[in-house]
Amino acid sequence: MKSIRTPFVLTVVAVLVSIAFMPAIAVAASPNIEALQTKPQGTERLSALLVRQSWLPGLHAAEYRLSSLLVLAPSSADAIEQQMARDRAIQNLRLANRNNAALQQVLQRVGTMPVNGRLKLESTDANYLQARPEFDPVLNGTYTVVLPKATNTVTVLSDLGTCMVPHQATASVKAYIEACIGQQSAWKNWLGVEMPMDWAWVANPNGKVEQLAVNGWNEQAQGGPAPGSWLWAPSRKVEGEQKQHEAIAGFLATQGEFVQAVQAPQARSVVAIEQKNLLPEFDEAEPRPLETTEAWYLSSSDWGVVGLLQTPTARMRPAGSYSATFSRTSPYSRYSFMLQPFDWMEAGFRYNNLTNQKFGVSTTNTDQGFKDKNFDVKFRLIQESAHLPELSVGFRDVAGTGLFSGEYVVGSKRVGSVDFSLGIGWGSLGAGGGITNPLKAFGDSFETRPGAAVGLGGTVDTNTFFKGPAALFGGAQVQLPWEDWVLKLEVEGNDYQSEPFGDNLEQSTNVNVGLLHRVNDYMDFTLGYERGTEVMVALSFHERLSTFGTPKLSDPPSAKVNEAPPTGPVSWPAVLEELKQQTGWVATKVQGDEGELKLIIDEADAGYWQYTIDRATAVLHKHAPAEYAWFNYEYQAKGQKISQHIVDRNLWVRQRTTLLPNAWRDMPATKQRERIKYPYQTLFDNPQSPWKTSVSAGYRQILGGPDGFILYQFSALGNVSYELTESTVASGRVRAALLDNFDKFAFTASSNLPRVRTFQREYATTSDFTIPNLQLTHYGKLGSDVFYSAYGGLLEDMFAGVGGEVLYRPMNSTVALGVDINSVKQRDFEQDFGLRDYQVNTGHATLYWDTGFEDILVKTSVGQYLAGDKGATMDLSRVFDNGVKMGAFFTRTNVSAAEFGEGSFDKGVYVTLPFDAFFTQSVAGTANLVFNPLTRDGGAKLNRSVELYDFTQARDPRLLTYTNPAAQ
Amino acid sequence: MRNWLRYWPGQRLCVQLVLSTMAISSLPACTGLNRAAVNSLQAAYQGPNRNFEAVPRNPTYQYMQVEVPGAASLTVLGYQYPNLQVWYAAKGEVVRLQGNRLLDTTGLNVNLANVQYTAGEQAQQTNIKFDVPEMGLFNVQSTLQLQPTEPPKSNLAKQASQQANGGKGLYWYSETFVGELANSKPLPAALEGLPPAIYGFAQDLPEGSNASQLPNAVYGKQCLAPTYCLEWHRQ
Repeated sequence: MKSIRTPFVLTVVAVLVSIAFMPAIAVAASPNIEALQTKPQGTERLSALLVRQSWLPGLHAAEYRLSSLLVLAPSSADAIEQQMARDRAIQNLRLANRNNAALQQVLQRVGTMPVNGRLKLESTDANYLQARPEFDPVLNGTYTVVLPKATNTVTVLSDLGTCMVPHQATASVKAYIEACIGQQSAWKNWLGVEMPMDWAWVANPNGKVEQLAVNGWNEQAQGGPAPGSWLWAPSRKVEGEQKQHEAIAGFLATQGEFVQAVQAPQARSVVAIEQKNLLPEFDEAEPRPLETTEAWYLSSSDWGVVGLLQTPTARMRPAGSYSATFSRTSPYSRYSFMLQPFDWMEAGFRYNNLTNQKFGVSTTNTDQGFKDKNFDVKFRLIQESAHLPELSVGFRDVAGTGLFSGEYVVGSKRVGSVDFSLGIGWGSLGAGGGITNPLKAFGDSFETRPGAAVGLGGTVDTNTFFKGPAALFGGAQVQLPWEDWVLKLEVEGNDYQSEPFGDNLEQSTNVNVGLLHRVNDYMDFTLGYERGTEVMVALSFHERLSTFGTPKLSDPPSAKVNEAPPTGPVSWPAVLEELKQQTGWVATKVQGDEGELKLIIDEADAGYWQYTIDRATAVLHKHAPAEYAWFNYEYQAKGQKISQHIVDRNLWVRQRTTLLPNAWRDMPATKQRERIKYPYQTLFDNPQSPWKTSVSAGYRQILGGPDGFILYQFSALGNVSYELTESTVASGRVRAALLDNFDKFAFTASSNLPRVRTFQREYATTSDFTIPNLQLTHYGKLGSDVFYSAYGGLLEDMFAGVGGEVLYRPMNSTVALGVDINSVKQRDFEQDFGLRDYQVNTGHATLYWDTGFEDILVKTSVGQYLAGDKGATMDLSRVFDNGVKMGAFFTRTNVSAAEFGEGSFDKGVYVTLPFDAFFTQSVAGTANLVFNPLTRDGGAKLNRSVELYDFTQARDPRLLTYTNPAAQ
Repeated sequence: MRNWLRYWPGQRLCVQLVLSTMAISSLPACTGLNRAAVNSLQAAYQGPNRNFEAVPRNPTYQYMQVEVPGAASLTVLGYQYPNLQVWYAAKGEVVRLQGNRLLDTTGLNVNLANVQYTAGEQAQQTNIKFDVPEMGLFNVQSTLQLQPTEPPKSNLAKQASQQANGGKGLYWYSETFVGELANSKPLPAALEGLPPAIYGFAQDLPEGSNASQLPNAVYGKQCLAPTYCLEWHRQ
C-alpha cells in the first residue's frame, strides 16, 4: 500500500442486490441443506462470475459464507492428483493400523467422499481478484462454482470418535475434540497428557490446512477453527507418517463445508457422525499472535545456550536462530554468541571476562580482565513426545582453554506452562559432586578428571569427557500468567570450589532464581540471584535469521504484467535502461533468434536471483514483441560465459495473470541450463567503459585481544579496475584509515613458525595509507565447464606474487573441483611496493560439494599453507532458503600444537548474511561474520581477491531457490 | 583513540565530524551496497510514505487515505452500492465500508470478514458479528454503543480535522463494545482492550441519533485487533 493504482470504473447500480441469487441453482441434498451452484458462462474469470452472481461481501445473503466458496473440477488433473494422494494415504494408514477397527471405519468414510478437484483459491473476494489477476482463475465449462450454506458446525474425525459439534466463537480445537471423545481425568490434565492425541489437523472450509499441537506438553497459542472446519485428530496409537495425516486433512479440505453438510445424513452407511455439544467447561481458544512465534518460549541461560540460569536445558531453538547474550554474575561477565544450524544442534562461542584476574600481557591496557574464549556445542538426542522428555547432551568450553569445561546430559519435559529439566553434569557443571559418577561402571578412569590442558587451549580434550565428580542439576521454567514474564528456578551442580586459577567463590546455596522479562520479540532481560550471594543480570538478543527478510520498499515498482504482449516497435536503449533501473543489471548485447530473445548480462549479481529475473522478465515482456517465447539471460564476466537462465515467457505470464490449476502453479518458468543455438542475430550493442571506479567505507576489528576487548578501524577504500582486454583486467584498491583505536594495539604474539600472520599489528598500524591490492588478472575457459585465471601483483595485505587457478564446475552441478598454485613473497608493513625476505609457494586443491543433506555445504581443501606447513582445511556450513549460512571450519597441518602456539590449530565459526535480507533495496553481496579466536601462523591461506568459485557463482544450482521471506 | 588527522590536532574535532559525515553520507552513495544501506535507513526512518498531497488527483474519482500499522495508501473508490463502498489500494487491497463501518477487508495483514451489522435494542446500539480469520476468531458477536468522544490523537485524524469544515474541525463519536448479545459467550480474550471505533463527522449529530442511520463520516478508525487498527480519511 504505497502508491496509487489506476482506479476502477465507478459505481455499480444498486439493483444488483435484488437480483443477487436469480441465476443460481439451489442444490438440496436434504430439505434443510442448500447450496448455491452455478457454472461459468463460456470462459470467464472467477471474479466476473462472482460479480455476475452478486456473490460479493455485503451483497450475498447472510446464510452463505463467501469464504467457503468452492470451485470444483471433478474431471481435472487436480482431481486425479487429489484422489491419488488420498488413496495412497488411506492405504498406508490402513496397512499400518490393521487392528484399529475404528480408524479403518473412519478411513473408509474418507474414501467414499467424492473427489471434486477443488481449486485452491487465494481469495473469494471478486473485487480483490479483479485487482490481482494472478489469483483470479479463468474458468470454463468443466468448472462448477458452489456457494455452500453456512453450517456453523465443526466436524471431528478420529479413531476415538466421529462427531459434529456446534461452533462457538471462543472454543479451541481441543475443546471440539474433547466434546467428541470425552475429557480425561484432572490429574492427567495436570501432567499434560490429558488427551490421547498430540496433534490435530484443521481442514478449513476455505481449503487451507493447519497442523496444531493439542496436548498439554506441546500445546501452543492457537485460534479457534472456522465454522465448517473438519478436524482430523488421530489418536496417539495410530501409526503413520505425518505426511499421510496431512494428505487426509488436505483431502478433507477439498470437501469444504458444502459436502460436509450434504454428507452428514449419509454417515450411517459407513460410520455415524454423532451430534455432540461442547462440554460445559471447554477450553477457550488463545488466538495466536499476529506473527508466528515459537511454540514454547525458549530463552538463553547465563552461558548463552538455551537453558535456565547457570544450567542448560535440553531445549533447542528452531534451526536458523541465533542468540547473543551478555550476562554478569560477579566476578564473571560472559558474552555468548550461539547459533542453531540444525533443529538438533546448538553451537557457538563465548568470551568470559574474569574480572578477578588480569590479562597481564598488554602494555597499553594493564587493567584489562582476563579474557577466556570458549566453544560450546549441544546435540539433541531425543525429541520430546507425550511420554518421553527431550534429551540432549552438551559440551561447555569444549575447544578453549578448558577453564570452564564441562559436559552434561539433560532432559526437559513440559507440563502445561511449566518446563521441568533434570540433568547430570561433569566438569564445571558437576564440580559440587554429590553423586557417584554413573560412568564409573565402565571403568575406574571415570572416577577422576584429568587436568585440562590450559596451556595452549584450542584442542578438544576428549580425555576429560564425563570424568570426575558428577552432580545432578535441574529446575523449572514457569510461564507466568502474564505473557511477557517467565520465572526460572534451578539447582546447580557447581560448588565454585574448583574455579579458574584457584580463585574459588563463596556459595551459600546452590539454588538460583531469576525472572525473565520479554522486552520485545527479540530481546529478553533477566534479573536473578545466584549462589545466594550475587545478583545476576543478563540481556539476550535472539532472532531467527533463517526467516529474516526485508520488504523491498526502496525498489522501483516492478513493470505491470499484461496478458497480451506489446505490438509497437522496440527501443532497445530504453529497454536496457529500464532493465538497469529495475535490476541493476547491465546488458551489453541484445540478440534474437527465432522465438528467443537473449540478453548478455555483464557481471550479473543479485541477492535473490529469482526476484531479479522476474523483474527483468517483466521489463522484457513489457517491450519485447510476441514472437519471442523465450527469454535467455546469459551471464558473462571478464569475457567468459558463466551461466544462463531461460524463462518460458508464456508460462511466466500465465502464472502472473491468472490462477492456474494446482498442478501447474509451482511449475518453474525459469530454468538454469545451457542453451546451444545457432548464432543469434545481434539486435543491439551496448559496449561499456573499460574503467570502473568506486569508493566505499571499510571496517575491521580485532576482538578479545590483550590490548582491549575490541580494537577497530574505520577506513575509506578506493577501488579501480581497467579492462586491458575483454578477459584481462588490472585492478587495485587503496585504503585510508579514518578512525580507529589501534594506538592501543601494542601486543605482537610470539610464534615458532614463519610469521606470515602474526605481524598483524605491524601491518595494521605502520601506515595509515596502504595498497591492499594491485594486480593484473587474466581469465579464460578450457572447454565449457573449466575456468582458469592467472594473476600477479600485490595480491593481499601481506603478500605479493604470482599465481593461477583452475576450476572444474559443470553447470547445475552440486560438485566443483579447483586447484590454485601461488608463489608469493611477504610485503613490507607499509603495504606499499616494498617486499620482505620471506618467500613461499602455496596452493590448494579444493572440493566444493553441496551435499543435498540438511542443506549442508562442504568445502575441503588440501595443500601447502603460507608458513610452508602442509595439511587440510574442512569447512562445513548449513545454508537456509533466505541465503543465510552458518558454518564452522578448521585446519590441521603438519605443525604440532606446540609449534602452532595458543589455540593449537586454526578454527572458527561464521555466519554469512545476504545484504538483501537487511535492506529495503535489492542489493547483491554478503556480510561474512567470522569468529576466529586467534590469528596464528599455522594453517594460514593466501587471501586471493578473486576465487573462481565465487566468480562462477551464477552456476550455483541453488541460486533460484533463495527467497525473501518478507516478499509480499 | 588514534586518528590520521592527529598531525593537525587543532582541527581534529572539526574534521572528524566532516569525515564521519562523509563516511555515512557521501562515501556510501558511491556504491550499490552503501546506496542500499542509505535508502534502507531512510525507509526505516521515514516509515510508510504518507505524503499524498503531491499525488495528482483525477477529479472524476473519489479518494480515501487509509493507514494500517506499517503501511499507508491513497485508495480509490472502485464500486459504490447503496450504503456500501468498495475502496482499492495500490496492490489491490480492498476496504469495504458499509456506511461508516468496516464491512470487510482483503489483502491486509489482518482482515475483517463475514461482518454483519444489525440494529441494536436501543437507537444508539448496533449488534455486530464478525470474523478475524488471521487470529482464528470466528463468529464473534457483540454490541456497539454510539457516544460522543474526544478527538483522537493520530496524525490522520488531525489532518482530517484540519481539512474539514474550512478548518473548523470535526465532531467526534465513538462506538464502544458494551457487552455481548444474549445467549453468547464473552468476547475472546484476544479482543480484550480492543480500542473503540472512532468517527469524525462534518456536522454534529442530533441527540439520540439512530446508529443505523448516520451521515457519512469524514474520518474513521476501527480496530481489528488490539494492536491493529485501520484509519481512513475520505477526501
